[in-house]
Amino acid sequence: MQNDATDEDLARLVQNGDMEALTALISRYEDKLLRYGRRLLPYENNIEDPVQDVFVSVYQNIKDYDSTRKFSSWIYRIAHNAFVSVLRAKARGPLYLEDFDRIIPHAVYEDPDAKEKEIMEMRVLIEKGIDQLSPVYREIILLYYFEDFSYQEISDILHIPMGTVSARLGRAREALKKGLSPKIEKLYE
Amino acid sequence: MIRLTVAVLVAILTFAVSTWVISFMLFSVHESGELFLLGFGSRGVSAFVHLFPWFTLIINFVLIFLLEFILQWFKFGYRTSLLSIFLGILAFSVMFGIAFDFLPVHSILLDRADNGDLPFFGEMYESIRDSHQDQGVFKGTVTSIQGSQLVISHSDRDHDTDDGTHPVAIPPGMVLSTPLYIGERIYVLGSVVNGVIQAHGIQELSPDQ
Repeated sequence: MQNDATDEDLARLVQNGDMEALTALISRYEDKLLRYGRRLLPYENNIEDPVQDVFVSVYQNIKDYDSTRKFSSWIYRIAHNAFVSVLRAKARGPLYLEDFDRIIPHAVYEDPDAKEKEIMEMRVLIEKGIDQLSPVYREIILLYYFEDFSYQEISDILHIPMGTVSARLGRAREALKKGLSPKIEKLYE
Repeated sequence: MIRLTVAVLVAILTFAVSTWVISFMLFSVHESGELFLLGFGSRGVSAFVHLFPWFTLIINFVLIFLLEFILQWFKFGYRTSLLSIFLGILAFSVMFGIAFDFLPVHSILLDRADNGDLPFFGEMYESIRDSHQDQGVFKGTVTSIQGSQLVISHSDRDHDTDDGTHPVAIPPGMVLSTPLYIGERIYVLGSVVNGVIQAHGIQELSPDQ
């Protein structure tokens, strides 16, 4: 039964105290979050710890989860916070996760067909250059091209407007295609 | 759920305070007569800029930033750009502030402050009555008129340097919007030369100003 259940169904069961449902959710997300964490924090040797923290936080806060919303966005939001904490702890100076794109409104250009066409090319570029991008761009490009989230879902995970998602993705794509613009590095790291 | 409720309550409270601060700012500008300065040429505009309650405006901006931060808890908050939220809150605060300014709340509080019956914010309200002589701004009641010279008497009940009588000289050619009569309260922009205020602009105040 739990194999057929959606994440949201399992989360509702966990809210009612079903620990087997929690185990099922953990087995669904453990590998995804480990992979996501390793790409986002390439210099972190022990990514298992923050991922473990994510599942502890899921268990502790499951009552706050609104099951009418996507569970994946909710758990990735928790993962975002956990990974940002690691980044902050390891950062030598202040960590800037906000940028000018968050301040001003941007138009949203989301084209799923274009994503389909460029996804293989982008994944190759990302694998080669992701560790040179600043975290603010690294995270958004991973969520879009590897974790396969839509703009709206990324907006809910990172708590930024969809226009900002669009603008940051555009800049990150451009930087990767140009062989990584040093401007972005200087601005955000 | 509790955190969300607290966030909603703090957001409402912050917005209410912001609205009140804006309405007080508007009330103090028109009640003090400083709005007249804008009609007194470049010197008047300069005095208006000096006397504008900038501190109140800064407090209001701090409140707006605080509210903006709180709204990031909500979907509509983080899904909107920071600039749009800022301008949105500012627009709503100003609209509600203007509407609140139409209510007699500030006038009642000012009267209570005048009577020494407002323990909190009393000084803040009383400062509306101040005559800012250092900026060339004088307020008072006309006690005598002799040709182009008149005398005004000012008292804001604190017996400080702006209280007392001041002769005012009206320069030839100055056109007054209405003729002056003894007993009227007036607002004067001018500079003191040999103990006489050389008026650059004069405006009649309403009885409650």
